[in-house]
Amino acid sequence: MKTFIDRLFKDFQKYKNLTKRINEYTTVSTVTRSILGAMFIALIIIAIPVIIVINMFIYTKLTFVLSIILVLLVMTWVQLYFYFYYVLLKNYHEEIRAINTRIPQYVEFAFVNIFIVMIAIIVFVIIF
Amino acid sequence: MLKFLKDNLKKIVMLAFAYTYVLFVAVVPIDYAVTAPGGLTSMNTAFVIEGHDMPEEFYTIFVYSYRPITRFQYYLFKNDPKMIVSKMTPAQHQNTIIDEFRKGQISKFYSYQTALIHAYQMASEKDDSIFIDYGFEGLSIYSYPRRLTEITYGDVVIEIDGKSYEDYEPEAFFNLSEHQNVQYKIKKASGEIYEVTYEQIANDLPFGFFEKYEIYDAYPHFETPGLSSLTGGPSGGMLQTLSIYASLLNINIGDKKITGTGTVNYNGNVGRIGGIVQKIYTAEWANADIFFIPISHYPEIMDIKVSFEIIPVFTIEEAADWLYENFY
Repeated sequence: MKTFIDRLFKDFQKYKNLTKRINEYTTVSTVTRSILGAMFIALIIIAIPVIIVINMFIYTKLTFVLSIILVLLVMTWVQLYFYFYYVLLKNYHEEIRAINTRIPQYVEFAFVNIFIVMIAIIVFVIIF
Repeated sequence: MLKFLKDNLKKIVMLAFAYTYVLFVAVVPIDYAVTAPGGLTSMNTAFVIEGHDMPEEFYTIFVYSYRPITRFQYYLFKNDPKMIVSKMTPAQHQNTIIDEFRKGQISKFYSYQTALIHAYQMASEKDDSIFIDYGFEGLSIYSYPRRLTEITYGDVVIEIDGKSYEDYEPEAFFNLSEHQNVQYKIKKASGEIYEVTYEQIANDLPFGFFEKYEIYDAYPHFETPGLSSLTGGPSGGMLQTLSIYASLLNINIGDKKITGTGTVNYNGNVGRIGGIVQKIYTAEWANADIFFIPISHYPEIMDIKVSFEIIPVFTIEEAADWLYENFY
């Protein structure tokens, strides 16, 4: 347990250092374009599965399962968003290509998804 | 990135076509509607009767109606025996979701009033301390041609061609409305009175009415908190009546789960409803024990294998007598 917490703490320190290094190279313009581009690409990928799941909500027996699938798809969208954000950012700034962006990607994904899961649990408790 | 796009242009264009097609099938609505199994609504909190507990064993059934559906949904549901996929009617085309909601709420109000009147009347035959005093107050508008913009759902017709509701029995006054050219005197909820001259033209939505009753006094006193719920429609009339009847006479149902469907009209006849097959499947999934059904629907569902007892009835009195004989 202690090792796990130590690792988490270490990864968080790495995350802080890496984002600091990334921020040295980026500009408001490239970050904005990367955010919008990543949101768009992730949306394109996730839209069809989400729409198909929404189409199936008429099956009342499957409502709970479909709701969980929908939450998982939203979490996947977040994962895709952060993946493409760093891909696009590296595309704009060659200096960042050498930096390991996997840790910032996972840490930010984890933060957002903890929030999504909390909201989902509250909504599920109210509805079901 | 641009290099990648140029190198794979052919594949990207093909994928874009496939993507657009799938998106089109799953998003663009078509001219069809679907009725699907829904769920049960407990009658336990729908009514509050002074000095009596509402039994927890009575449930009305609702089904889901979606329109328009997408082509993907059409392919998915068209061969499913638990669903009804049908072309949208002119009324479904013209009415918005808000219109449908208002119609559902008006018919539910009518259903609640009729249920209370019948339940109190039937219970008063067994217990003479129970009474209800009510009166007919006109025809509540449930459907109307959309070109008559001065009308709103729930307005009450008090005169038809100069003949007042006060001079007629509800059914006779209702029958006066079956004209193609007619003059209505109508009262709004605010008390304002206006007149409408109606001449039927092609593709008009027909006028639809519910008899409006006002309950002046009743013992035991009652409240209807269920009227504020979102589900609507008149099809719960029979179960609403039975739950009030069981409450008034303190009928002990035990641990049986009683459900069913059917409107109840002024004469006590149990009327037909929509989505009967879907309601049967809903009751099966909800582990019902007893299902009351209008007798005219029975041939449509007798081939469906279910684990509950089906009680076909013609009138609400038959249903109440069955309940009284089996549980009192």
